[in-house]
Amino acid sequence: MTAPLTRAVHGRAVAGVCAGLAGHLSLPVTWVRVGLVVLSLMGGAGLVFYAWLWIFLPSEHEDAVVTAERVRGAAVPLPPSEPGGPSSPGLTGEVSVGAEDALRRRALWNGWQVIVGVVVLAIAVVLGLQTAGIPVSWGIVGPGGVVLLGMAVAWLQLDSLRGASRRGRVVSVLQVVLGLLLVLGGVLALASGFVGMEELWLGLFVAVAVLVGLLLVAAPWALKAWRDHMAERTALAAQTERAEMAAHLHDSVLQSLALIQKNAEDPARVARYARAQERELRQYLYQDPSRPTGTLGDRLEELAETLEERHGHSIEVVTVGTAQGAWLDPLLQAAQEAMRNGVRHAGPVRVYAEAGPDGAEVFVRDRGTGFDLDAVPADRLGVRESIIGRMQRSGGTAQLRTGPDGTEVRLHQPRPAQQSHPTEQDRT
Amino acid sequence: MNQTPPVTVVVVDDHAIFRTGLKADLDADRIQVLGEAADVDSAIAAIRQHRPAVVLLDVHLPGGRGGGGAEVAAACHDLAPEVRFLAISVSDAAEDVVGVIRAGARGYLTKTASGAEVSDAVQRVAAGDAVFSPRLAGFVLDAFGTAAVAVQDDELDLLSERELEVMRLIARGYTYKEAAKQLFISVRTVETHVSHVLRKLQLSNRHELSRWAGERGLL
Repeated sequence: MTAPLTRAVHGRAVAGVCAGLAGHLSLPVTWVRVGLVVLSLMGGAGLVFYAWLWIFLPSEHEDAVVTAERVRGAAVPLPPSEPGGPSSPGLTGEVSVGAEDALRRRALWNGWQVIVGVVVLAIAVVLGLQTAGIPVSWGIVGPGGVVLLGMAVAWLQLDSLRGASRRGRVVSVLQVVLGLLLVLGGVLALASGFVGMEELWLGLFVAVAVLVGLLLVAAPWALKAWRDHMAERTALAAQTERAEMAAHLHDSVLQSLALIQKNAEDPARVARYARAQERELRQYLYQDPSRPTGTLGDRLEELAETLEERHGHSIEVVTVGTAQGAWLDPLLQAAQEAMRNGVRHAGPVRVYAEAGPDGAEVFVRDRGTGFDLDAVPADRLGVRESIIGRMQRSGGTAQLRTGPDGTEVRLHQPRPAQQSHPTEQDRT
Repeated sequence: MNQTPPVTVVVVDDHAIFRTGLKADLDADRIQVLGEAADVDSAIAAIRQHRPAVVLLDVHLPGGRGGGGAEVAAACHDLAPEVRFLAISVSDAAEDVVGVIRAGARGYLTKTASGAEVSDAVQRVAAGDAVFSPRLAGFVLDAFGTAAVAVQDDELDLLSERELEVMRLIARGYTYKEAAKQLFISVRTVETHVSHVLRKLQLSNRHELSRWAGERGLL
């Protein structure tokens, strides 16, 4: 299969015309380049051909850049269970955009080098011709060269405007203006060779007047075309987003609903599936990818999720304030044990966690019938060891209140001195 | 219990399946459903026509100017206190919850609440009290902060010591009755504290409040 005819981004020298052409014709790039240079020497046919392709061929990555922009802007849900998640779509989008930028900058730099080379070469050729005794009119060659140079400078910016940063865009616009001035200067110099200064000024004045008139007529049209284009782009982005959403819903929600229908006679199972699906969907819809994961609330939610799946009773978590770090580990392990006891023996469980400047507190409450701690056999380590013992060893406290209307475990872990973050204190 | 007349209710939710389920779940002895509506405009019309004691109001609604449940509550401000609003939503996002409360709703429940729980909450709202779910109490604690304490009761930007305690107990899953027992105060006093907190939530122009709700995605 032949590659479509586009201007290559990889391996381009100026605008990627030769590389793209070579890819399309399955020829070595060097052949194409040499062929074009030879053509250029034949009255400039190669140059015209090159310019023509430059204008009309799309750059290879034009579509890719648009989608990458969209990915970067959209809230891509991260799977929070993967710590750090460097393989998430949001981050890869970011990377590809960065790589694209670097590539573009390098191509631009190459383009400049080639232009300088061509200018030096052209001067050498003209000088050579002159020493060989062939008369060359500087009045025509000089301005003509300047016009060509200006065009090349302006055109080189064609690919760097899209998707560039603000600063990059300013530089690009400046270079386009520079190219424009070069072209104008060249044309004026060329014209001054034929007509007198007085007529030149008059002609310039007329030209400006005509240009202004044209602008006045064309501006609303151009503006409208630009707006239509933007609207189309937004619509396309929305459509892609929608397709992505539909794919996700299909993969998760519809499958769960099918599962629920199949198990309709088993209410416990239905509730469990519904609950798991709800969590998953909430995470997909509301997870903010920019928010740091691994906070007290996140980790409690994760524990709750696994316990819910295993035991089938719901665990509702409410968190106030934020805390992070390894000092929470014993607290979370004890909380997990308390939650497990609750869903195993009592039913639905509520968890309330509060993180403050001096520590974190977790309350785990169920509405079971309560139990007698002294009546628990000594070989059952659950409450005594995994909760109370663990908290005491790590410098925290654990209290247990149990009665006929339920059991509540209160866990408190002081924040280690060097760990207190003033920013976090301000937030709570 | 039967001598008290049932509380009249209008159910506003764009989800027809949920409306049907909720109506079937509500305790028919205590609650009488007068009407229902599925979007902002029909909701405002239905509320003005039926004048229910309580409107069960979904946070996310189509129609109107896109303001959802908050827009309905705001548009019916002149009917207060005859008509009261209880927000009920599947969304746990703070901006939704705080938004509809600040628009005038007297409480907030998640859609997973059982029929009996909703019926209780409707009666409580009809009696002029506020209904706080543990989640809403958590939002309040997070928004107002737990470190600083109001010295005077009428300070709008901070919770008083007692209000903090009550909010904490509700966030921990205590009923009003249990919270009252725990703090050695009457249920009536707990209700008063909760109403005060609701008022602060509605009136405080503490600038963090809206910013906080916007920033806070969801838990």
